[in-house]
Amino acid sequence: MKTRGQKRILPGFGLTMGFTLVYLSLIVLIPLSTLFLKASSLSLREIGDIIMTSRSLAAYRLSFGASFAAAGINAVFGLIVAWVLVRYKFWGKALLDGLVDLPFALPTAVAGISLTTLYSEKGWLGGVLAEVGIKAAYTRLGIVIALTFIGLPFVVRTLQPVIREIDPEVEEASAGLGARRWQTFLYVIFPNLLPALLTGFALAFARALGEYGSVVFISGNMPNKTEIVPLLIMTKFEEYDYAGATAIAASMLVLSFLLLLTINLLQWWSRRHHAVA
Amino acid sequence: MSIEVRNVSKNFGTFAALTDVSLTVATGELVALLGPSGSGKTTLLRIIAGMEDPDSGSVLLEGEDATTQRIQQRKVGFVFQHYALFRHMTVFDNIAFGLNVRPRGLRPSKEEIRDRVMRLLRLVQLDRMADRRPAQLSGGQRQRVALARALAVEPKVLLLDEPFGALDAKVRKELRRWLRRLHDEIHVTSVFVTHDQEEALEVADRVVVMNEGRIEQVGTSEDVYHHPANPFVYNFLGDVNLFHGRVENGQPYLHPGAEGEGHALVFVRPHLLDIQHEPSGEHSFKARVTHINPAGPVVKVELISEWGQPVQVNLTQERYRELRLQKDASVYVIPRELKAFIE
Amino acid sequence: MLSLKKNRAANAASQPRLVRRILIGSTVLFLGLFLLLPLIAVFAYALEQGGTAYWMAIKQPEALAALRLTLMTVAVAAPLNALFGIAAAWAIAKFEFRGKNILITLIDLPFTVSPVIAGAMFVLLFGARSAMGGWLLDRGIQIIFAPPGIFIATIFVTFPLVARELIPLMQALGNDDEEAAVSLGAGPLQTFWRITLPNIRWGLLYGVVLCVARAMGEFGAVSVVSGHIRGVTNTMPLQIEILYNEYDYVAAFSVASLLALVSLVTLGGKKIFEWKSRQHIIDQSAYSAQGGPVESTAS
Repeated sequence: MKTRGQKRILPGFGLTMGFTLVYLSLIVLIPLSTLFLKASSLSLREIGDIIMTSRSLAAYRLSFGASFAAAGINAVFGLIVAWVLVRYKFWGKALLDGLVDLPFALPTAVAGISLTTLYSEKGWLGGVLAEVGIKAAYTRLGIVIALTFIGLPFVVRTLQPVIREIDPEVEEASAGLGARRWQTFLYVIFPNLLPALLTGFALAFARALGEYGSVVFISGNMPNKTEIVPLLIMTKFEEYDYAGATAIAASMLVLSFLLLLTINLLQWWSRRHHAVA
Repeated sequence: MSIEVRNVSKNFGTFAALTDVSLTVATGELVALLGPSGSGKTTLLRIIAGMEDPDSGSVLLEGEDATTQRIQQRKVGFVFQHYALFRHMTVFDNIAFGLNVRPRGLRPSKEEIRDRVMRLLRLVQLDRMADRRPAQLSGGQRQRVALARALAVEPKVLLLDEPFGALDAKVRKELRRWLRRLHDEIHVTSVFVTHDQEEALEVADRVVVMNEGRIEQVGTSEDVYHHPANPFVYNFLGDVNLFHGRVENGQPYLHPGAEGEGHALVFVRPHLLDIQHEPSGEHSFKARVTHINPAGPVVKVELISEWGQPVQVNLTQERYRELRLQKDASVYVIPRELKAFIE
Repeated sequence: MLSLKKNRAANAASQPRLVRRILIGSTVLFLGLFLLLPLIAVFAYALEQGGTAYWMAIKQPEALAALRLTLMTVAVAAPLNALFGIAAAWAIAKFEFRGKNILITLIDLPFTVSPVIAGAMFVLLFGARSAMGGWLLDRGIQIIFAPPGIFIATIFVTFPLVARELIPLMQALGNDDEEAAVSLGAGPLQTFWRITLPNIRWGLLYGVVLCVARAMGEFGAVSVVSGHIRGVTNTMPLQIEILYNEYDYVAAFSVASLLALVSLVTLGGKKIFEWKSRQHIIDQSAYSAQGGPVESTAS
C-alpha cells in the first residue's frame, strides 16, 4: 500500500494504518481463515456427507425458505412504509420513523422472548390467531415472523433516501403527459426504486440467513421441522461434532460472501442507475 | 523573505501538473499565479508551502534550500480557499491557535497573545467579532479571519489559495483592494493563486501566467497585458479577436486566406477596433452588424466580417451615439493596433 | 428552496384520499404490530406481577453477576473498537492509497458473518482441541468457556460499528482543517485533540453508543463461546435465555427490560446525532456559500 502523489503533510499514516491492519488481522482475518483452513482439512466427500443428511438439508431448506419469505414481506411492506414516511405527514410519524431502527438496537434475545410470548397460544396475538386456527409460535410461521422483525429496517432505510431524491418535477412531467397516478408509479417511479429495493431485499435476506437469537425461542427447534442452520451449527458444537459444525459454517460463510458480492454489485448498479437518471 | 523555485516538476500519476518550473519572488513582493484550472498554479503554491513534494527540482527560501523542510519549519502562512476555519472555536481562538500550540518555552504569555490577536483583529477590521464563531460571519469576514490567523504566527511568506474564490463579485472587489492596501502596510512576501485575470492584474506587483504546468510569462500587469509573450497569454488576459494574417517587413496584415510562409495569427482586443461608415487605411475590412448591447460603460457590438468571421468591437458610448449604428448595417472595421504571432 | 420542493412533492403526490389513508393505515398497522407491540410487551410482561417482583428479579445474584460480566465485556470491547475506529478512519479518510476499497470491505466483513459462525470461529481457534487453545491451556489460560472468549467474540461482532460511523464523517470533513493546523505549527497530537476530535465527537459518541448497545445485547456469538456457566460466563442475554427456558417469565422479561431500555437510549442517540450532524452540515454550507450574514465592515 503506497500513497500516490499527495505528500503526507498530515501525520500518523504509518501508525494508524499499522494498527488498523494488525487489529483487522487479529480479530477478523485470522479467525476467518482458521475456519476455512479447518474446513479444507475435510475431504469433499466428508463435507458432502455432512451437508447431504436429511436433517441438514431440511435445515437449509427452512433457512432459505423462511428468510426468502421474510425478506419478501419486508420488500412489500418496507416499500409502503418508506413511501409513507417520506411523502406523508401524519400524527406520530416521527416516533414511527425512529422506531424503524428498533430491530437493529434491540438485542435479539429480547426480541426473541417477546415475540415468542406474544405469539404463543396464551399471548396477546397468539390467542387471536389460535381462534382462527393458526398456530404461530413453535412453527415455521413463527420463524418467518421473527425474521421479518429483524430484517425490517433494511428495506425501509435503503429506500428512504432514494424516495427523497425523486424529483417531484418528474412526476409532474409524467402527469402533464397524461399518465394516471398508477401509471406514473409503475413506469416512472418504480424503475427508480428497483435497485434500492433489491439491495434492501438482499440485505434483509442475508441478515435473516444468519439470524439466531430471535429465532431460537419461537422456532421450537424440532430437527427436520423447525431447525434453522445457525441452530444446527450450535447443536453440532454442543455434541462436540466439530467437523460437522465447521463444514456447515464454512458453507454458510461462502454463501453470505456471495450475497455480499451481489449486494455490492447491486449498490454499484444503483449508483450508476441513479447517476444516469 | 525571498522565494526561489528551481526546475520543479510534479506528476500525479500520468498527469503532469508541473513541468520544469522556475520562478523567483523578491522579498516584500506580491505575486499572482494566474491560470486556468489544471494549469498547476495551486500545485506550485502547495509545493512552496511544503504541502506537496516536488518530483524534482528545489525550493529555496531566503536562499536556503527548503525542499526537505516540513511545512512547520518553513515559516509560511497559508490561507485556504475555503478558509478552513476551525468551526468549534471563536474568531479569537482561531487566530490565537498558532500561538497556543507552540511549545511552552516559545509560547508568548497569555497577555501577549491577547494583545497580538486584538492587534490583528483591528488590522483586518474585525475587532468587535472576537467572540463570534465562524458560522456567524459572512464570507468576506471569514476570509479576513483566515488571513489574520495566518499572519498571527508572523510568517516570512504569505501564501493564499484562490483567496476570493468563494465570494460574490461585489465583496470580491472590495476585498482585493483591501488586500492590496494591507500588503502595502505590512510588506510580507506574498503569493496568491487566482484564475481571475482582473484580480491578478489589479492586485499583484507581478503576474505569473501559467498554462498546462508551465509558466507562459512573468511580468508586471502592464507587461503581460500590453506585451503578451504568446497567443495564450494574450487570449487569457481579456477578450480578443483572432484573425489570420501575415507579417511582411515586420508589419502585420489581416489576410483571411493566408497560409504558409509568413502566416501569422493576428490578435486585436475589442476596444482596439473602431467602426466607420467608410473604409479607411490598409487594414480596414467590411462587416455587418449582428447584435448591439448598449448597456454598460462600453457598447458591445457584434459583427460578421465579409469572409464570415464573427468579430467583437467595444465602442465608447459617445462613439456609438456618433455612429448611429443599426442592426444589419454594413460598416467598416478599422483596427487601431494589431498584435501578430507568427506560427 | 428545500421546503418549497417538499411542498410541491406533497402536491404532486396527491393520491386520492382513500389510497393515502390505506397506505398510512397499513404502515401504522405493520409497524405497530411488528415493532411497537413487541417493545411494549417486554415492559408489560416484566411488570406483570408488580414492581416488587420486578425489583426482586433484577436483584438476584445471578442476574447481578450477568450484569457485571456484560458491563465488563462492554468495557473491553467498546474502547478497543473505538480506538480501532479512529485509527482506521484517520488512515482511510486522510490519505490516498491503493486497496482502500478492499480495506473498507474487509472492515465491514463481520456484519456479514452470522453471530453463531463468529462464535464457531473462535471455538475452532482457541478451543481446547485446537493447537493454540491447547498451548494456552497448558499455561493456565482459558479462552473458550471463559470470559476472554466472550470478550473476543463480542469485539468481533461489534468490530465495524465505530469505524463505519467515522469513515464517511471524516471523509466529508476533508483535510483542510488539519492542514491549516499543521501549517500553523501544531504537532500531531495537538492537531488531533484540538481540531479533529472536536469535529468528529458526535459521530464518535454515536459509534460508541452503538457499540455499547450491541455488545450488551450480543447473543448468538457469545452463546457459542460461553459454555453457559452460571454466575461465571453468563451475560445478560444468556441469563435471559436460561430464565426463559426455566419458565421464569417475569424474571426473564425484567432482565430483558434493562436491555430494551439501553436500545431505546440508542435510538434516541441516533436522533440526537442526526440532528447534530445536520447542524454541522448547515454550518458548513453556510461556510462555503457566498452570502452568509450581511457584510458589515468590508471597507
